[in-house]
Amino acid sequence: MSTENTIIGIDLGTTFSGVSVVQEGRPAILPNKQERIMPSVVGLSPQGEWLVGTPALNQWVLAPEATVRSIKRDMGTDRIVTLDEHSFTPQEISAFILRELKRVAEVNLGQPIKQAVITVPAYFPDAARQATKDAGQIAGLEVMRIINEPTAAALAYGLDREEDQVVLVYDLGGGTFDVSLVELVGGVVEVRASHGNTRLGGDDFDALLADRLRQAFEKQHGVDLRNDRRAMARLTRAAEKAKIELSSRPFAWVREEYLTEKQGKPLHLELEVSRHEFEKMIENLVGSTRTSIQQALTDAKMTVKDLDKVLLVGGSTYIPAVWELAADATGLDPRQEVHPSEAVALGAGIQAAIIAGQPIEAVLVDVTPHSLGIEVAEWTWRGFVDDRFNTIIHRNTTIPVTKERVYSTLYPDQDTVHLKVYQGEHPIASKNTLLDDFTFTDLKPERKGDLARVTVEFSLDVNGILHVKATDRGSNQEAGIAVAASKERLTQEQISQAQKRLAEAAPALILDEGSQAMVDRARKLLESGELEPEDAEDLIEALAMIDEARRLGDEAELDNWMDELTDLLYDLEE
Amino acid sequence: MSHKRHVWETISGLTSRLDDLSDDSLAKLGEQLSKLGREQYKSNTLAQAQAERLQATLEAFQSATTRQEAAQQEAVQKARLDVLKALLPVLDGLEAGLESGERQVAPLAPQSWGEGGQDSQASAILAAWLDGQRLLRDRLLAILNEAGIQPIPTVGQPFDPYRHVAVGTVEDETLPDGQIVAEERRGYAAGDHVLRYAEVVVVRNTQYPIPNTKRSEDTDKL
Repeated sequence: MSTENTIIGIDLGTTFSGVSVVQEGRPAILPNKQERIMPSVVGLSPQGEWLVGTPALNQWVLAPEATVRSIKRDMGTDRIVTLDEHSFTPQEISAFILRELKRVAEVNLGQPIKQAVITVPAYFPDAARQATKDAGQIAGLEVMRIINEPTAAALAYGLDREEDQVVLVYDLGGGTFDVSLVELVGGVVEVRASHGNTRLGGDDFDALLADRLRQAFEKQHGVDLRNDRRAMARLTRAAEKAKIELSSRPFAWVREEYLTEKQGKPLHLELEVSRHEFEKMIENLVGSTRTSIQQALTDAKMTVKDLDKVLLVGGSTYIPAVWELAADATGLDPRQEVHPSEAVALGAGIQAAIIAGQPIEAVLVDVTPHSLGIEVAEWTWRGFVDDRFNTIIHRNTTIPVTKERVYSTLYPDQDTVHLKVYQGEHPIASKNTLLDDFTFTDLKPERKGDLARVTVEFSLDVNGILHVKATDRGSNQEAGIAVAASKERLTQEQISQAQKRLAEAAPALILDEGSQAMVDRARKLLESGELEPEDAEDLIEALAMIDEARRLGDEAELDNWMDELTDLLYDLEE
Repeated sequence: MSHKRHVWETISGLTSRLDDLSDDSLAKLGEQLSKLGREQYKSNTLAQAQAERLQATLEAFQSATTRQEAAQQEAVQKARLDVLKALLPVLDGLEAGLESGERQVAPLAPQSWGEGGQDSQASAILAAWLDGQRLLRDRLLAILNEAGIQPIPTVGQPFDPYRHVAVGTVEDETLPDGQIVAEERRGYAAGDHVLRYAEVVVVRNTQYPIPNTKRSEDTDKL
């Protein structure tokens, strides 16, 4: 890695920003102490000190007139931001964020940084792109390139080094949503269409769930918490935590003790929220993104059949309902193995490394190459159909991973289930690979007369061992097994391609160690620049002839030129 | 004496053999000599290259080990703080319970009851139970303290955006602007490392008449 002019990659987001760089071939996020991404907030403290990131966000309630959020929405407009008594353009405010990211990179890398690649949304007009470039310059950064966020995501997945393809990038973050159609032809990435909603994201989901918790509390205790700021803040935090938990589990407990008091009596909230309930709450919001997918396809004059891949970007895509929607709308298995909140920043870092001519390897993650699930019976118009495959962990999921689903028995008095664990992609269970099976007995329904319900947890560890655990919700008893599933880093196809490339590039003759040392010595001497021009020319010629002989596989010629090189070096150094 | 004589004999032997050599064989000898020289030179170069590589590998290994050790220590410290951070809501619950309990017990202060009544006994039990809760809280605080984690001071302090989050403001002419008057959620820090920002209510008496953003056509400057 050239240490003199490292180029950094920056994801300058609406709510959060991040910075990355390629180190030893791998893109990595550069953290600011414990924070991997930083709030895109700028503030002026009452003492006249500039605040960027979390400290700026911290003073928002105290001094909203001296704090700026979401400046990205104003990029490219003639808006003027007034902080205290000073006026700023959106470029200048963004420059504060960029300068902080530059500083974070410098602290991490221990060297000054002068150049950057910055990402912008695909729908950004030219004025906004120019404004972003200006912001970089104000921050003391030469902006080597402005790239589109979906392009960065495609780079993070290494798609520029694959065959030509059309990719749909679905980006649902904390506060914005957009979907882009990206076409990759000969390593060149082009955004064909983009559509979205700049006011939709995970924060909306938190608010809906928090409101549901508030209503549940009111129903239970008859106390309205809406005017209790402290309690509402706790409910919002609890909602966010439950939302995250529901991404991997079918149920989440919300436990908030001493939320408030009624006539001196402390009141607590204890409530179990199901994934199903949560999905109902956010159904309309998530469903609205389907329209954007269709709009983007129409704009690009394409249909879902033209799509080769779907990439999920943004923290909210961890929600299973979002995955399902993207899968359902496109007929493809969406990919999300590169950390969704960091993919854009990592892609910017990769673009930076490409410009700097640094070697790059793809973001290396361990994924499960096959879907993992169990056999179930499904209720259809013909009655129960058995031997159906129900996926618990989708293929291409980053490991380690833990996922849970809940199943119910078929008949009210059924107290035994037989769990068959399969790996594969076929909807008919028996057409996949059976990994193992076990019988779970003495099940009890939660309420008499109901169907018993069993939570099945799949936990795939880094060694590719799948731990299966079944828990009866009625009796809380557990049963489980561990089986070996496959994991992989590269597909066999990728490996054989790499081997082929290597074979093509390699010369026919390999130098013995001594000869290699001579060649290295000659190169070092040339690089030192201490040679007379004619001596240098002789050396260059000898080296070129050695390469040529190696390529042609001419052993005699190689020996001759090795002797020549040795003589030259001997004469030069004596 | 015999040594000198031996050398002389060898040299004269060689000279006489040289005399016998034709030009052709001389050229061959020369070639062989230079080949030998090249071999020698090549093997010197190889030895040097190997030594350099060994040194470089050793240095890279040492620096990698140092880096790895540092990274490992950092990871351990981070994992430790993460675990303790996850305990903070438990501490919150204990504090809230204590505070609530103290409020219940206060009106039942012993002097307000008759001698040895049933109320007094219930209250004594409640007070003792509350003491137990306090000890529990202190035990947890001690564990945090051992790891260098301390509560962030709030009420009476000036607002510090690097340690506090403003969640509300109050007007109070008797207090200076920016002073913290209430704490809504306790914050904790290990030195400079903030595990959780303290959520606070801050005095704000000055009214800022300037709106946050304006369209440029509304401003005099443009």
